[in-house]
Amino acid sequence: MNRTQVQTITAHEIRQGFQNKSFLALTLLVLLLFAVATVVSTNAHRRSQQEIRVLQDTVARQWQEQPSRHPHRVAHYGYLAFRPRSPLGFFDFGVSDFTGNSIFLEAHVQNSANFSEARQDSSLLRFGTLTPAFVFQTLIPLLVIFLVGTTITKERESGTLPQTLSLGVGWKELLLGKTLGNLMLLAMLTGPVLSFVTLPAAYASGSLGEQNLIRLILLAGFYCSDQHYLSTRNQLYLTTPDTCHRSVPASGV
Amino acid sequence: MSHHDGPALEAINLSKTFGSLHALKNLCLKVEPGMIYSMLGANGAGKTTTVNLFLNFLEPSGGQAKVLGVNVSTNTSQARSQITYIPEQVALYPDLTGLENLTYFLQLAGHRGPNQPVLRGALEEAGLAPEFHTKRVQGYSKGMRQKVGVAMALVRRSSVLLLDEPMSGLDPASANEFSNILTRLSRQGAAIFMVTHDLYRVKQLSHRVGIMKRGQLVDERETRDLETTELEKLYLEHMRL
Ligand SMILES: Nc1ncnc2c1ncn2[C@@H]1O[C@H](COP(=O)(O)OP(=O)(O)OP(=O)(O)O)[C@@H](O)[C@H]1O
Ligand SMILES: [Mg+2]
Repeated sequence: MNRTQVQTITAHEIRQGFQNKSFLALTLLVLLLFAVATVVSTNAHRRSQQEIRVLQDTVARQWQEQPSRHPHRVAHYGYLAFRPRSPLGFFDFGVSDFTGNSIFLEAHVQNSANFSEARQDSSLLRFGTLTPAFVFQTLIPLLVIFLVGTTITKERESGTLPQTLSLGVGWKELLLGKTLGNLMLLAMLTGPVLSFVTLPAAYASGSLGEQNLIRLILLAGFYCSDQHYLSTRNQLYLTTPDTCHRSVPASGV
Repeated sequence: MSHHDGPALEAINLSKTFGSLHALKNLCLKVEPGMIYSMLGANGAGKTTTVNLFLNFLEPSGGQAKVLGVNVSTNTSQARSQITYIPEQVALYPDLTGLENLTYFLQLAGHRGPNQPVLRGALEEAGLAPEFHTKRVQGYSKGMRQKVGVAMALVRRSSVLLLDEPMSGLDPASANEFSNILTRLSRQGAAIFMVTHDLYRVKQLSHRVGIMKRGQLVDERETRDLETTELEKLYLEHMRL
């Protein structure tokens, strides 16, 4: 693996991307999708939080309102406990849709969690929940594959591909460089939105408690780990803004 | 430059078929360091196929292509890194300037930080006027693009040059400059394989000339022994047969 070649191609790809109008249009689309995903999933998250609170209150009230009974019978009456939504669930629902939301606590029996969304819903749930995390984890990689494929076809047609290969650049280097370039480009354009708009907005809207600030920062950190070194190594050719961008998708929150 | 003794370019029974078409049949060819070898032949004779086989853009159907003793189909990257390739249409990125294109391709070729004065010097030497160095390639004429390719050859100082009709589209003065550059590179030890249709340049430049017909090398001569008119007669005779 020739790292210099990979870095050169990455920097080149980023630069070409900025001059590519269809790429910029596509990025705008991703941002739009990202905004919609944030609104939709924040609402869904808040709604289910409220539902859980109401249900939990009802259960608590019913428990309190029991007539005076023998403790053993009270234990058999049981209690329904609900799993609270994770504070960062608005970004990524995590596994809560699959694990069940409530557990019935009663004497002598160890029940498992019940009523997962996945059991009741169609299989679309596994693929189709629009959350900001889904945009990052699924749509952006798909987009990168699409972009890399397109640039290779374009370069083959224009003849720059054979020109590049004739210099001793291998396919491995070419594909890796192009993938990294497009990924970083998308990250550069969407990363700042994530870290400076969406997350602070969610924080300000009060769906997060004070104690979750650290979690929030960690989340942003995973999605925005800085790959600044790549751009500084190629200063001759490209100077990128010192922004924050994602390198690895964090899986779940 | 290399530390390889023996021919810089060697084809050993090199063959290529496309379906039932024999584009190249048992080509045997040697180009020594410091030698300019010109290849003549009608359209479709198999000249570009030969160049593509030396670059391993095509896998041979039989035989071997060697660059500095290295088999190109097994050690492709190593072989290619020794070659400067100038096609009939040098392909460049239209959004970048000539200088930026040159910088990019040289970085890919492993030149660490080629500095601007050197690159501008090479572009100028290749015949590209300084005011165009920082203009986008979009606005270049065909000849100007070829000159960026020539500049690349100058900076890289490759041991092997593969040229596929490199001068088509160059004006006479630029073609003349290009010829001088090729002569100089060959004196410095580069082996040059050039496909061309220009009999005058063949006589003026090259040490050896091959004539290709329907995938076969039908004649090979030292150009020293031939006048341009004789060369033309010889070529036409072969084409008639
Ligand atoms: N990729 C390909 N697939 C099928 N046939 C091909 C391919 N490339 C070349 N050929 C055939 O091989 C033969 C030799 O082609 P080649 O391009 O080597 O000719 P050439 O000598 O370079 O001609 P020209 O002077 O026109 O450039 C031609 O008959 C051509 O049709
Ligand atoms: Mg040809």
